[in-house]
Amino acid sequence: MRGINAPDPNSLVYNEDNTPKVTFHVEPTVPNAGTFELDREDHTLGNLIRMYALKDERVLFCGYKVPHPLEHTVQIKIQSVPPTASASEIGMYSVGGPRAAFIRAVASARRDVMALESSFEKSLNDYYTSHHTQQN
Amino acid sequence: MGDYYYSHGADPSMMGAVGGMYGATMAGAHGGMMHPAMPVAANIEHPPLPPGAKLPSIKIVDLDRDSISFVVTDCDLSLANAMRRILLSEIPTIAIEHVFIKENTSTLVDEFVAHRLGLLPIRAPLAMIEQFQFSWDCPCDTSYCQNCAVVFQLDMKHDGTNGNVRNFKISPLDGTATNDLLVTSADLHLAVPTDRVLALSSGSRSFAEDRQADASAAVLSSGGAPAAVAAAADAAAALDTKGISEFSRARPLIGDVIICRLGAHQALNVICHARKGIAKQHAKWSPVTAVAFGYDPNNLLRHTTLWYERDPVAEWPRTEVHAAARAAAGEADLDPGLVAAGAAGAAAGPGAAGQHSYDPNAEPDTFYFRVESSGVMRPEEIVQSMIRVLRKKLQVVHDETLPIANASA
Ligand SMILES: [Zn+2]
Repeated sequence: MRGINAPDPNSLVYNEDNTPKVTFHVEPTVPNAGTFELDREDHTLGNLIRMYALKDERVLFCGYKVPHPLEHTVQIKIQSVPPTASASEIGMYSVGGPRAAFIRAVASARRDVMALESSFEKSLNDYYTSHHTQQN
Repeated sequence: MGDYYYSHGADPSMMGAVGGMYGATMAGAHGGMMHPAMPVAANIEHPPLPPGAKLPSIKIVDLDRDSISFVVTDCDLSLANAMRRILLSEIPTIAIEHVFIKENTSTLVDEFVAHRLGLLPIRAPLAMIEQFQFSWDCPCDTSYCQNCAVVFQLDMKHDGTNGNVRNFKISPLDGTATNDLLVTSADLHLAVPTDRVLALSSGSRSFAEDRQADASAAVLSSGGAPAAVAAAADAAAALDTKGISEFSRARPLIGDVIICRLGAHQALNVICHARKGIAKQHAKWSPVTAVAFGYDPNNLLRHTTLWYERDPVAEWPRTEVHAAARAAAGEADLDPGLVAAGAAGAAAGPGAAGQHSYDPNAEPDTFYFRVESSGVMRPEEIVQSMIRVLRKKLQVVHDETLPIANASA
């Protein structure tokens, strides 16, 4: 389709092959560990999720890498304490294990972003209001 | 005469291909693409906040026509950096992507003109962009439609015909034109008048007019009735009298951008398809001209070494947003002692900088941003879009991880 030997610049953003957004590989040699691979994501989410995971007491290790500049994925390796109870007992975000730790980190980041979202709307309204009163 | 196809920047291999081709076939929607306009589920369950932790918050320090300054507090460095990166590279905007040259007898080659057209800032409000489709997400598949492309036309000829009599003066001596015709972004017109565009980067509408136009266009683009369009404009006008009069210190949004210069009897006739994209594909989609990002203005965390000759307070530039935030809060400007401690600390080492001794466990939690808009979106829209893109990214990863997490049990 393309006449030159270069990757499609849009392939940074969309995935022609419809590979899944998130894949998980269990680490065979390390207990309670595995690697999440996020398709079409980069340091933005890689570092964010890593840092949120590291705030979690039940996470023993978390690191991320972008394996190659021409592969638009990021890999996040995570090791956690062993699971203690099932999700049905104590809730999705409270169980142990690397999968729960990962989704807990993502949900924590989302919680903070949503806080920022409402905070910004409020600050914007405040700004409009206060600058209106100064004008009149 | 075939229409020639140009893809500005992003797809050089297609240059010169004969018309009728509408670019790369981008079939199928990718599951992971972001749709920032998607509504947030109201019943989202959040993990509990750790004891003592606070939710991050934003405070706007300054906002004007083309820039916004804000301070983010109680925020992790990774989150602040993610915001910075998205501001720079992942906010969707509209830019000309495909140029079909019907006639070009200007002195500029076709590729050059196509490149210049691609870089034109095209004004579109957040509401419109969020409804607009990425070309690869649009069900119209291989071609284009009004949901994924805005079609512009530009037809200028410097011979006094076609109503284009601007600057056309005939020399009494030899009958040739004595003036060149400047073709600018103002000469680009919507090919389909009812199309959902807003305004090109031309003219010097006031901020209030801008906002009204945006509001009515947003309603229009969602298929609203004329009455609803008018009502939206009225609502925006009411908001303007309420709060935006600050912005009437009018500077033009962006003046008309020169595309080329036509000599006598030269012509430029092109059709342009503007598409939604992000700056990761090509910088022409970036809505920002600069993102200033800073933390720890006194360098108390020792993340850098403040080199100085005699006096760090006098020699080092201040963090503007920090100074403005302190002024807004009624506080004095920088504490010179803090700056000196921060500058001296790196050399002196841990614990040696007097009352502002170095804490190796301290982490940055306050971040100073200043975002300059290129003019294609209002600065506050850029920040809103940034937060939505980030939220959407996390939402997609979260939802796609759920089956994996549940399968593990
Ligand atoms: Zn379409």
